[in-house]
Amino acid sequence: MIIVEGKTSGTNLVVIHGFYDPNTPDRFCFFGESDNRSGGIPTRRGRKPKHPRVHPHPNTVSAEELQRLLTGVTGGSDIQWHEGEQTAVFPSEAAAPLTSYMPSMAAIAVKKSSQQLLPWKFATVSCDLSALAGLYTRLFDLFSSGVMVGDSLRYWLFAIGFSVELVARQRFIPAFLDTATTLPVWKPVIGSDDEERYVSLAGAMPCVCESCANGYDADSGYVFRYHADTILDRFVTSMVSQVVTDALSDTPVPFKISKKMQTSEKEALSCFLKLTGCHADQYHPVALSEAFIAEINTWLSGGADEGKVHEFKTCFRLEEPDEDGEDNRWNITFQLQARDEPSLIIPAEEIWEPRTTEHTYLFSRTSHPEEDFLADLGRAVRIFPGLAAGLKTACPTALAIDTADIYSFLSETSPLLQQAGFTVLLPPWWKEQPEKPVLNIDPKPPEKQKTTGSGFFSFNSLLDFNYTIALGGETFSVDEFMELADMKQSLVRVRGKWVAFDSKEIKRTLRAFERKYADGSIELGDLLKLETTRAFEQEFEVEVSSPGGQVGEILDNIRGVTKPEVIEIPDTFNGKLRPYQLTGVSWLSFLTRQGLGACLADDMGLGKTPQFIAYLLSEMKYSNLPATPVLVICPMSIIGNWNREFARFAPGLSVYIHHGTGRAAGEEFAEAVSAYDVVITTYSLANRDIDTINLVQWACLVLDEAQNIKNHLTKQSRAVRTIPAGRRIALTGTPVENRLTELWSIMDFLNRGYLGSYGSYYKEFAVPVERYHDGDAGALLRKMIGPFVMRRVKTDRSIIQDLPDKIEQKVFCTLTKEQATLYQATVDGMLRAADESEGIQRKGVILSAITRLKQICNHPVLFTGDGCINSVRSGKLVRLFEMLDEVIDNGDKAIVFTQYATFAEQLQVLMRDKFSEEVLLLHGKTSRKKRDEAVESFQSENGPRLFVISLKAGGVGLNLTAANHVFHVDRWWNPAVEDQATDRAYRIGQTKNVQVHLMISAGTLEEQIDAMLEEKRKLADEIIGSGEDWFTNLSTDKLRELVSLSADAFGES
Amino acid sequence: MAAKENTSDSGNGVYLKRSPVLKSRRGAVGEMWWSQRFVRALEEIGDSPRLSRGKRYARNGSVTSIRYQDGVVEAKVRGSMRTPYTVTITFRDYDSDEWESVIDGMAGQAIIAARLLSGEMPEELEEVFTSVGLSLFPQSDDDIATSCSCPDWANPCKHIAAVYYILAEWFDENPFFLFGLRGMGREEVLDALRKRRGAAAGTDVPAEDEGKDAVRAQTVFSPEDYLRNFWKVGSDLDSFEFRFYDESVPAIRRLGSSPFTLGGKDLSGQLEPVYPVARKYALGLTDMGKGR
Repeated sequence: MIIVEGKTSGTNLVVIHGFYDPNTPDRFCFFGESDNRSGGIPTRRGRKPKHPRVHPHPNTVSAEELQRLLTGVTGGSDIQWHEGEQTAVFPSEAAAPLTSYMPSMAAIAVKKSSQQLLPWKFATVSCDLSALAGLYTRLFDLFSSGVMVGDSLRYWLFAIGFSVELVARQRFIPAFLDTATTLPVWKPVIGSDDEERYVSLAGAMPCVCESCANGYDADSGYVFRYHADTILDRFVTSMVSQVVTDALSDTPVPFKISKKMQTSEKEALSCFLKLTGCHADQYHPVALSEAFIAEINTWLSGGADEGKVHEFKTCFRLEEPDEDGEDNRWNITFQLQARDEPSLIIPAEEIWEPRTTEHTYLFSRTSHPEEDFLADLGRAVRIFPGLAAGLKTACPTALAIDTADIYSFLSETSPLLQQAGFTVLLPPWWKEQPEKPVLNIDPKPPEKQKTTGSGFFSFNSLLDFNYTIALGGETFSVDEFMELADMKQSLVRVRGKWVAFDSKEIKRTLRAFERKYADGSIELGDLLKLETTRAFEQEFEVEVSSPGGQVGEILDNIRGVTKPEVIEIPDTFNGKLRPYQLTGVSWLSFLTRQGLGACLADDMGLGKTPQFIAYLLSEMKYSNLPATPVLVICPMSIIGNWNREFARFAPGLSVYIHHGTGRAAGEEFAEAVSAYDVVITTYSLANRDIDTINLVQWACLVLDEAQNIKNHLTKQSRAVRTIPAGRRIALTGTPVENRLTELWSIMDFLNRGYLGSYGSYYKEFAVPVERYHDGDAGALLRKMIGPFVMRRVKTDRSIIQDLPDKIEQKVFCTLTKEQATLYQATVDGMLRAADESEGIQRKGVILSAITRLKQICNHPVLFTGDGCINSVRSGKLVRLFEMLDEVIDNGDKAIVFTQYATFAEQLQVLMRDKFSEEVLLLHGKTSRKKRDEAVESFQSENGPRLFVISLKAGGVGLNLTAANHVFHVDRWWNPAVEDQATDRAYRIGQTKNVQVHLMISAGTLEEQIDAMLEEKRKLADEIIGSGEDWFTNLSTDKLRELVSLSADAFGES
Repeated sequence: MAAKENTSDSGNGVYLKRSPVLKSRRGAVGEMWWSQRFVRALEEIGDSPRLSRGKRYARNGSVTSIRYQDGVVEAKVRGSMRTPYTVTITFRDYDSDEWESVIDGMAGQAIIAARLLSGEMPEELEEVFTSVGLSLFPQSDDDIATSCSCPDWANPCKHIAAVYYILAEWFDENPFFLFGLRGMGREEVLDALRKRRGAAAGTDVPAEDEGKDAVRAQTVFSPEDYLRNFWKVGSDLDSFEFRFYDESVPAIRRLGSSPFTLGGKDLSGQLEPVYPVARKYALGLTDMGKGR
């Protein structure tokens, strides 16, 4: 993975686009937009030109810059970049182009007539298609780099993928480039089975690609020459040809040339030499006889769907022999299918008979239907030479075929016929659910010595097993089955049912199975994999029978036959679990008691922390959890949150926080923690102090925000995976099943080896699912991880019935060291000054200090004014961004409130850079018009997902029901004001749960005031509605109590 | 096969070729199976020195004209004398009874009509002719009468051979003329076959031309569309599934074997090894693997 430094200078945003211009068919172009605007349209006087004048695009990214960015991704490989320029029309408003990263503005403004298409000139770089193919996989790395990938470029990644797929599926044939030359090329074949995808791909092309392909000319204006269909068609054609050519220049295929060949033949041949990559340099244009070219073309056109379009399609139906008939011959019968009414299929017999009504309907516009039919058969016989045998009669209606030939007809011929536009009707057992042989695996209950000392299994416990193979409901021993597979026949009838298989493959697979489990034993993990996927490679289905006992229990659970026993929550748990939470706790308990790792991936806000705490209390009381401490590893930003959650839900547990400069090390640490129930530390410390941490054999290891180990190569991720622990649990709110790299790391932490090595996983699952939307691979993976991942989402009302419409959650954040230092200094200064002053002066000192403290909690830059705003300097922002990440991953929208207008502006910029997408902003200075536009755009379905609002401007009357997350970055102290802001989202029209996140810096005055509000102390009443004046009336001691930093307020820097 | 019509009517005959010179400069004559078969028929009866000289004549422009009329091919071939020799080749027309039996034979095998209709010259034809005791290609003096005004006693002489080669190459482009030489054109053959199939003539309705070939309706440029959705891909893309691992058969097999050979090999067979190479390479471009 290559990470590109996308931020070019300062915080420039760069969007990279791509387009293909059929006028330069062997090149692909890139261009870019940045938010660094320069120039504009100079005002001109004089006569208005017929077509708008061309002006330089003010946001264009220079060719050098584009090259630099792209080369960053390609790892500096020697691609020949060509610099160029292109002019194209873009939607524009007020004499400036609307940029791609503000698309929603364009979307809402259509109604207004102020927008028009205007021509803009911009810089491009291009490379040839061969380089593009080489660059293809690496272009995906752009998504994880700092630049934004425009939809236009994303689109072409699909088109490249589709072209590569056609080559991989061998869907290309030779053709002459055009009628004028004898230059042969490879051209794609789009079969009828790909037609739909191809059309949908063409239909998805963003207009920008069309616009760029058509260009703009000052004399003729925008001429719509190339439609999306044509552009895609030309691209795929060129790309397929290029990929095949590249393959062959890599590995030339020798073309057999016989010495005795005649000259005319050699000449004809030289024209094909080029195709195979061998002797490509010997190619020279030759004058082939017209007859020969015509003959070749006839032959070649037989392969494309270019047959004359009749009223009907010719179909072939494979029919099984009669069950009790003597004759065991199969028949392929011929039918005619009406093109405009595919359900109307009539047997070929009728074409040879006097006409019927259907006949008349079907053939009303065809003079000689039987001739069309015969011509079709003539085409088909080229693909399927065996068909000729059926055409030796005057009125052919069917072809008899040997059982031995059926398999190749099913697997090879029928797809070819379908691609050539014929309909092939196959028996349902072939296409819908090809019956596969079943491996019946019969594990034996584990013997005692094979289990681990504690009597529990682990993922690697070995189980002995026997197996047999069943086919069509009949069971065979392995030897018997091999005998069956040895028969050349690939189609056997078992108990009246036909079963087809590729006997070569099946034998290979069976041997592979035998080799893998040569000693007749299987690891529990492997057994579970077989159980969840119910398949061994492609060839076998798998049935695992239950041996009873613990293994049986696990299997039953995976199958959903039984549910984990609902566990008892001890009264040491200070709270009440909702039913789905109790289910979650029971599930965690069940899996981990069997020695299996579990990942609880409930949506944000569903209470993973209380579930874990309840689990812990229950296990401590009711299971044989070792007496050693439990280790919780979490991001620094929420160390305080964990501490507070333990204190709230399990006040009886002793918690040790391992962080800070004076933290214990080595044996001292081991000794110190042995007296505690729970130890909390951060990912970075777990990495830094790994030797210390590994001195303890932990009863249970929990990773919160487990996506922190997503990159399995980082030291942090590797360190965490070495920590010795009896039980392993991962908590995360991101949809792990969709983030496949992360999923692997988490699963490897939980159940080592279950998903195989990362390399094979990447190839078999990550790329197919993420990049190519491979539904089969995705389904298989979901089955495999299913038993180990529990994810409930808020919207799933069948599971979560009792969730309130509005959930308020406090998010305790940790200060950074810088924040803590500034905070402490400010407190000290204030207290000193407060002591030394009186009256109005004291009041002023206190008020300004309180404001500064609050700003420091938000971000040090608000205090220092040094202008360097980034998220790592603020614990609160770190946490905010972590949570927004989850929001975006879940496809939700969020509003972020702050009371400081400048901070709102800074947040918008930070968020936009961080998430590479448009972030809306609203503050006091925003004009009414802009405000309305922003709201409308946020509310539209595909509009921006993040909206920063300064609380003071967060005006009454705004309707922002598109959001289902509301963040209050700083506190107003006045719940009424906060609620009013929150109600922008939580109001009539809101269909989802709204989650309100109140962000509080732990150990600071924010927490103190929150506690007061919570406990409704007398002071609280004074607070409400009175702003911050009340602070000024407090005694200095009282003030100290309120603003002092508590010990756990900050993490390591 | 779109037979290119380079014959032309001129008074009392049809010129087969204006400047009858072989295109093939070396080696065998005739690219298609039927013309090769036609040449073989000649080579079975001729002696080789005469044949190779005849071939040279056919290549060096010695045949100055060649025309066809009423079943007779007449050609002028320059030899050693100042005046060219006149070569005539007469194919015997089959009479209607003979044609009846040939058509019967053809009608009995739908593959023949199937191939004729899809533009091929069916190899099965020869067998049909043989089965009724006839031959599509001239085989004996009964079938074909040749004469030349040269003094050579042998038949075929080199002049006749030259004309033969020219004819063979011409057949490459006009296979159905072979029928014509026997008294019936391709259309007549198809007509006769149609009648045999008993498709009632009365139902013939001229096929309407509904402009089916205008495949996709012309899409026009709409500025509104551009303004509304200029930068975004269509939502279809989210559900676009790739199918790298769907069944995969080299597309060239769809074409079947080529109707001609090069170096004695079928072109399809020659090109097929390209496919696995390209497939492997393309899969290599994807970062994917299939071990499961």
